[in-house]
Amino acid sequence: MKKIEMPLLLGLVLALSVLNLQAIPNRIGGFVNPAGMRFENFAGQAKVWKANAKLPGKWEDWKDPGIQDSGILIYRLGLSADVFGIRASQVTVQIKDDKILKFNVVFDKNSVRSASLIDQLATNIQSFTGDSGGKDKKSFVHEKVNIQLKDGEDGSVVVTFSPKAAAVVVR
Amino acid sequence: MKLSKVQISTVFIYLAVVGFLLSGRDRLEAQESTFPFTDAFTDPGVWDRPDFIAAWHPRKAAAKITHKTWPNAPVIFGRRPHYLSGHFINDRLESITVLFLDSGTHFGYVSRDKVAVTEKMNRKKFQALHADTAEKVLAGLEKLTGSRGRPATLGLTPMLKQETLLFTSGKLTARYFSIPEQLVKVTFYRDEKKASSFLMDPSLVDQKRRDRIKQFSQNMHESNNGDRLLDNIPLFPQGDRAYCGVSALSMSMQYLGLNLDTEDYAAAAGIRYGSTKGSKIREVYEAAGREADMRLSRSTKFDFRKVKTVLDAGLPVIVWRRWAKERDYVHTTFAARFAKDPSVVLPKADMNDRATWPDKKAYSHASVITGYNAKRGEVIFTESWGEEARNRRMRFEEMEGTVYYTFYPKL
Repeated sequence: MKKIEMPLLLGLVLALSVLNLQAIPNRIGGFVNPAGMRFENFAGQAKVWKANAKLPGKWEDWKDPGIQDSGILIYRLGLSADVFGIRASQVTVQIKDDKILKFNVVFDKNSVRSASLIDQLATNIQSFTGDSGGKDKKSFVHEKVNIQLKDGEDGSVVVTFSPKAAAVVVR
Repeated sequence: MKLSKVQISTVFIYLAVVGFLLSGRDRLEAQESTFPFTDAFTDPGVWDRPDFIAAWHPRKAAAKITHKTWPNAPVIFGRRPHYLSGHFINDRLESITVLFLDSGTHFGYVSRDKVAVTEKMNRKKFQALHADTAEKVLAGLEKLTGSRGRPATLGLTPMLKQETLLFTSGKLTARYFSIPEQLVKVTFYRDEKKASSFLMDPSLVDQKRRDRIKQFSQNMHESNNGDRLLDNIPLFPQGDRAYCGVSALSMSMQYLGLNLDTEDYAAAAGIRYGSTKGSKIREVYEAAGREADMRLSRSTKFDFRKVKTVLDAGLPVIVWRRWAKERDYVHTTFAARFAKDPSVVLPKADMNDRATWPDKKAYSHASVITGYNAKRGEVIFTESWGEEARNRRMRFEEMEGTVYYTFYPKL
């Protein structure tokens, strides 16, 4: 009798604790504060891709061993940023001749709780842009930018923003 | 003339020092010029003055019942309250609430794993703050009204019953209410009858059930696009507080005629030190239903057919559901796109889309269902986050798949 009752009791206790209302955090911070908008809205603006565009927030010098061109300056965002509703682990920008070439946004594999990271990003980018993302659901167009989705290292995913006129190949 | 950063900083420091050096009385007088302290708490004539009404924010009411705040709440009875809130019904100021202390507002959102430490580190200090606030507010009320108040027990249910003090304050009535470690608030009413009742309109206490049913059913309206939407659900932002459940309740219950605030429910449920851990929100829901002379029945399923029937009767439905920030993004961005182009549709609830719905590992969250569009297969819901989160859309399949409690009011 005890063998049946204990699991039932434990199950009931667990169910009741799970069915309570935990509530959600309701905070806004990071890149949104200095920019006054979400990162993807910022990157979608035409003025961002013109010469001498200003980058809001804190950006620090960064090195990328994969970039050989010494004329390309790389900076990393020194603030947290949610991009397409998901916390990015790294946001970098590449600048040449005072013009932004692209933004690379990296998402760690554990940055979403439930779904697969790449599926969640594809869904959210589609929702933001209204673009279905082509056959592979990985290449989106939004106003003045191309947005490309690619598997990164160790289960991460990289989203690249580049100007619409000159799409770049994602490394 | 351009000022250097040092000069600007010097000006700010100077202003801060001058402000600090002002005495308490001077500060009060300086703020009285913006908020008519004594008059606003004694004379209902002030409440009808256009300049006084226009000072509350937001200026434009989005619903029949709107809570507006007085910008930069002044020091009142020696305490700067969390906020000063004007409760408007059909643009008429019906009451003013001064929220002197609220546990959730004081601590903000605290995650469950941190609440024990938060309580341990702050309990004595917060208890002392509560006692000091209660003492100062009572002394202030006694000074303002020249009386010590008269006790009044409000409410029918043990959970929501309030032991209050009523004060005649000029031509107004003030209601003082406090719960140790939770809440100190004072609400000024136009008349004693309203101050002595939880009902929005105490004259309706004997209203016949069939008249109530008829009255609410008139609030459901259909648009050309097939949206069937409830008018006039008030929106009370939860702010950075673990108050989604109690905010959803106060929004729904004020619409249904029960005049209790989000903070009243939070205190009754025992949302302490910024967390819902160990709180009794479900029980407060049941008590609120009984206080409003109705049932708030709970189901572990979201039955779209039943939800439509309840909404068609003019009654809002509350859901507790799984919530993930990354999935909420879809509903936020869709709302923005839909506002520009009503022809856009939500993703179909296919396998790929279902894979991105929040599961049992996700947060729990409360929302108010305010309408639906059967043709589009959409549920229309409102979040306690602000007007921008009113009447969002979700496919009914997703609501069915992520809800774990549905609360249906029944008259």
